[in-house]
Amino acid sequence: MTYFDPTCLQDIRAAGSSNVEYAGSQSAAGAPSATRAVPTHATHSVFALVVTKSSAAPRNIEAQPLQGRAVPDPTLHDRLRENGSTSNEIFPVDAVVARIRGFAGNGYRSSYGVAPGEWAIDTVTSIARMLCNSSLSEPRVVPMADGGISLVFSRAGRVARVDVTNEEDIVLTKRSNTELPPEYFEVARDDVARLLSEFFA
Amino acid sequence: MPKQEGTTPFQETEALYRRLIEDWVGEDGAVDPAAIEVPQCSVDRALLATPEQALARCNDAEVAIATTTFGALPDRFVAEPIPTQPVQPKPYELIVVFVPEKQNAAHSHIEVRQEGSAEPRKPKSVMKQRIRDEVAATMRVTHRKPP
Repeated sequence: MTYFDPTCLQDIRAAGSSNVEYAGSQSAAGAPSATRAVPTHATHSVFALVVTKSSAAPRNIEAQPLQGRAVPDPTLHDRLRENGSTSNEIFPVDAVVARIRGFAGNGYRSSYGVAPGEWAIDTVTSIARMLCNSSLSEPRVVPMADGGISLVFSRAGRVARVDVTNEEDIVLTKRSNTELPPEYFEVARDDVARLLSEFFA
Repeated sequence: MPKQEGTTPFQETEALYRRLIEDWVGEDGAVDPAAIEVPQCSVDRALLATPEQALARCNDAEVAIATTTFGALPDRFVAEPIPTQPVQPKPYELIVVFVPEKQNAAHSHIEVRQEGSAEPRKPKSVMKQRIRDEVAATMRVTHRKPP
């Protein structure tokens, strides 16, 4: 029998993973007393289940490092929470990606402008996947009237917008205060996660 | 106030209407900058269309009308100077152009042009986003389709 703690499932779902790998085991003597899910890598939805034995269970069941995967970092989730994050703020990336991809072709239904192109869709998808295990909350996904997709993140009065255009530009707009003008930066895809983390830190 | 072109002048208080899909409707009547096309953003002018007529032109995904006025639009955008370049880029201007269509007599464009040019021109990425932000900031969601 494989033991699966519902609390653990809630953690996984709250963390937005659809790619859960159960590295637990079977026990002939009893269920483990505690399980929890920890993200093993900040940019991928890969989890290991950390299972500790109960006093009644004679066997210890431990997660093994996943072959070919990042080594689990059991402190990451705690560190994200210490930074003001809650598990609800780690967003369900697959839903976000589905929404992004939904704007391709006929999914863009404004009578103005053009649908987001393949490069914009792929780039925004990649950025969303890089960010899904960060402490950012789920972004708004907005198609741009002249082609492209925006991801809009907000927290505590701060707003950051990542615009990925059909012209293959990525622009980060940061707004800390509605009284001050926003700041604009042309950025590389691989810098977006770091810049957003710094802005919302 | 921006410049203008066309046979029938825009008055400073004349309203301009733009149709919005739900994704462009922000909180408290704000308009998302993604609703703004650069370098040509289609609008309907109030001289020849009511907001209700503009709303009636919405397709099934468009749910609301945003309104600005000709006089509220920004007129000029100057890029940050680039110290290493001896010749700085020319500023961009907004021009509102009346371009009636057979199906829409009120159709007009908010165009972005480089100063001195007669043609619309798409600026580089950061300037483009700044123009979107500033134009969207003049708009409010004023009319919505009934639920």
